[in-house]
Amino acid sequence: MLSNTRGLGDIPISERARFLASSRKRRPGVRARRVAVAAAALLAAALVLAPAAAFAAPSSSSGGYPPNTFPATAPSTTITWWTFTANAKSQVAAFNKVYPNIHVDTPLVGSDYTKLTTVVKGGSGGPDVAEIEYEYLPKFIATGGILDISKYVDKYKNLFYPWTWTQVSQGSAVYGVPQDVGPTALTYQPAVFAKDGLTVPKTWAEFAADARVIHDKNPKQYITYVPLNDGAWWTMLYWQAGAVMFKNTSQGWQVDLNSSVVKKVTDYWAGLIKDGLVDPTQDWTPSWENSVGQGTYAAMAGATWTPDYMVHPFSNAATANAWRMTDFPQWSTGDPVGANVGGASNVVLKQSKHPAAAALFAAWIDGSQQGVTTRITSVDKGGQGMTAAASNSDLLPAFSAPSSALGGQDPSPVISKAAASVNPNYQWSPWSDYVFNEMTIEFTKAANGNETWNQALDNLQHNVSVFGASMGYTMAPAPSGQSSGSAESAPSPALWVVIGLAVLAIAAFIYRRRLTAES
Amino acid sequence: MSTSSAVPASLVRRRIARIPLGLLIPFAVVFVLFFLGPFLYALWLSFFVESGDKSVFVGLQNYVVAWQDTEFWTSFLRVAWYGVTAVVVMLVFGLGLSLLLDSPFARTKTLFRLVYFLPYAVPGVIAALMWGFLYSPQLNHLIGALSAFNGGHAVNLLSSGTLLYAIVNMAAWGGTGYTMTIYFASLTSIPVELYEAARLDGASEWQIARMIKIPMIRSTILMTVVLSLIGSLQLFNEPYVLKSITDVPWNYTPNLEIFNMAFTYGNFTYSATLSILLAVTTFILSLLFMLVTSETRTRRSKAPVVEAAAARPTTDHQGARPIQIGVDA
Repeated sequence: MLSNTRGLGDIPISERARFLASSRKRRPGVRARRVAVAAAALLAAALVLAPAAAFAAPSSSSGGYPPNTFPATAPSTTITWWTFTANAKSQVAAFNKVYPNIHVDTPLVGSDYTKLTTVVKGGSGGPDVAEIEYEYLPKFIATGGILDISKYVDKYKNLFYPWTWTQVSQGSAVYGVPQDVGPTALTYQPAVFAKDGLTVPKTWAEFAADARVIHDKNPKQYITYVPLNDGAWWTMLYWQAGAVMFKNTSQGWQVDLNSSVVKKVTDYWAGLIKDGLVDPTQDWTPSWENSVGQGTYAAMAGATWTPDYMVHPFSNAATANAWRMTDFPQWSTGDPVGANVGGASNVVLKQSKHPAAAALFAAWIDGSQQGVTTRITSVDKGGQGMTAAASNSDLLPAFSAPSSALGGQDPSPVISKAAASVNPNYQWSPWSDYVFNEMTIEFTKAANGNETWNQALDNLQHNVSVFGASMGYTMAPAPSGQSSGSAESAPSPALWVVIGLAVLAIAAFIYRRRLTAES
Repeated sequence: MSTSSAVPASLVRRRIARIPLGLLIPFAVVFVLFFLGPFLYALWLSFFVESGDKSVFVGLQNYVVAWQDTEFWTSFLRVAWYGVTAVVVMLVFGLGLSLLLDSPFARTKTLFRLVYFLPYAVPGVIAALMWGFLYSPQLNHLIGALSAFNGGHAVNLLSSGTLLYAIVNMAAWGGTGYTMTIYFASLTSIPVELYEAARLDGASEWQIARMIKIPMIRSTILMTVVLSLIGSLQLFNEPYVLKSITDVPWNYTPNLEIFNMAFTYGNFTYSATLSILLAVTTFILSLLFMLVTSETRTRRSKAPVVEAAAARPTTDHQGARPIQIGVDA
């Protein structure tokens, strides 16, 4: 990442942010946040010279936050924390106010997991505490490098949303402390809906109807886009609809990527694409950023961090104040159901020599009142600007601050509701990178008409199952009543490569014969 | 048996026979250390699957999986198509420029040879970064102006439809000067008498180029084409660098997929399997290349009819020279 940024001093900041984003292109869920966090960190470093002191003092009005159950003191030691959050030093400063004798190093390691993978595989050289996103946690747990810290942190479980605890647990083992979340929310432009006489859609059915009205009245306007390259976006929608695409059963990993629920959601968006009512595109590309900035999309189906990281950075003067946040559209009326996209946990590595101090640090920064305050305070005020995984974070004053990305709207009621309504059953596989990549390939083919969307899902099911087995996992059969997914009717392209080589070989031999014959 | 002054002839012969072996050692050491060793290690790895922290021997299972790996083989076809398009562009422009430089009308040949060759001297990563900026409508106002022809939408040359050709353009930009240099070197070695004879017969410069120059460097052209095709299988730098500014799937090229399999997915054994498959494919292509371009005389000198070699027309010796150039380059 750093090598890319070197020598870019003359490039506009937005362009630089894109290069900063380079290394995380394959982790779509949160790269947004981190692009902006990286950019914001640069700004913060340059503009805000003394951020930590401004807010680190514990808030005097605790406002009903659960009483502090963390130990009053801890033995002296030094630990290392690998994180890619903005203003990580503020978090350490807050921690050291309470535990001055635990020294925390935060080396600049960037956001790439390659280094973490390497040190976990090598068995040494790693940090005590590492920040890992939820979708990649199973991969690291599977390598056997993450410590079960249940004996240190089980007592803090009640501080967090229950579904976040599910994300970091496997059975009775707890592999990390939830740090932040990205519950689903709809970011939209009220004026665009009002202009066409529409109210903001509450259900996906209304959303589809509005999509037609908006596009019919102004062919250059779309209700939203479909990022064909963003597996995290699709996963968010499947998750909300109740799909559990991966399950670690007693028979092994069960993959269920072509279930009826997944098909329902896919068909919904495929229909909108087919009718030309949404813009099939690739997010985090210049053309997409341009469309967002010009207000081409009336709404963005995303997370609570969408306004700050996917809209605001690309807005122009005309659209900067056009956006507000509201509840995510639903499949049925009744209790709202949401999903999560993005967010990370802090884990303790098995190779840590100070697991107790490391676990205390992870639990304190993610669960204590001071730690959570730092977490949710905006980046330009020296905080970390995230939605905390701590369920009582909405009781803190910093939570209900007007957002400059939302024209001054206080989004806290939407965020509270969204975080509380996340469907708790979702489980990530240890191959999230692979699944996201395959989704990009198959969905791009489907959107271009090279295969049907059902074929895309069947291919996904097939490829992911094969990949899981190739990674050495025991694969359980797919749930009954569904096709096994071996939908590859055409011969493997390997055959074409072999045929091509054979043709070349024959041509070479014929050429050779002619040469010999000539002379 | 032997005295201090008289060394038996057989021993001398044996010593002399050892000299080539000794001269081979520097090559052999490097070859074993950096090619054969890693190859055999990868071959060994490809028979295992790593589960958690233990390795399980699975025989050829990885290869069975790889055979069904649609995207990996699709990436082969993709780079093959990339190779064909890039080679055609480089061939046409390289040949055109070299013929122009070789024509009697050309002035300041040395300067232009250098200028045309310069892009090849720019490292691939730097070139990819540079082109990445040049393709950006925000930074390159020429591209920005193209939006007028696209209904006001920014033209994205790096979208999935045009990405391959954006990379072909980068490769052609770098490779044209290189092929031109090879062609030009080959052209300068054509005997001048042939041109004189042609002019006496009333041939125009264009006819000389078409009837004499191009046929005379045919084997050189064949060599650059085949080498470029084989080289295109190794495509990595450009798509890897472009990942930072556009969406390039990890299995866009075989090498990108191999890299990703090991360092993103952490599947080192399957990555080794794919590496072996790529190496074997490249090896087969290289063998075919040797078959097509190697000197036919070498083989026939061992044949009983030695006169055939001597009787070969001199023009056929063209076959030997380009290979020398290839080795030097």
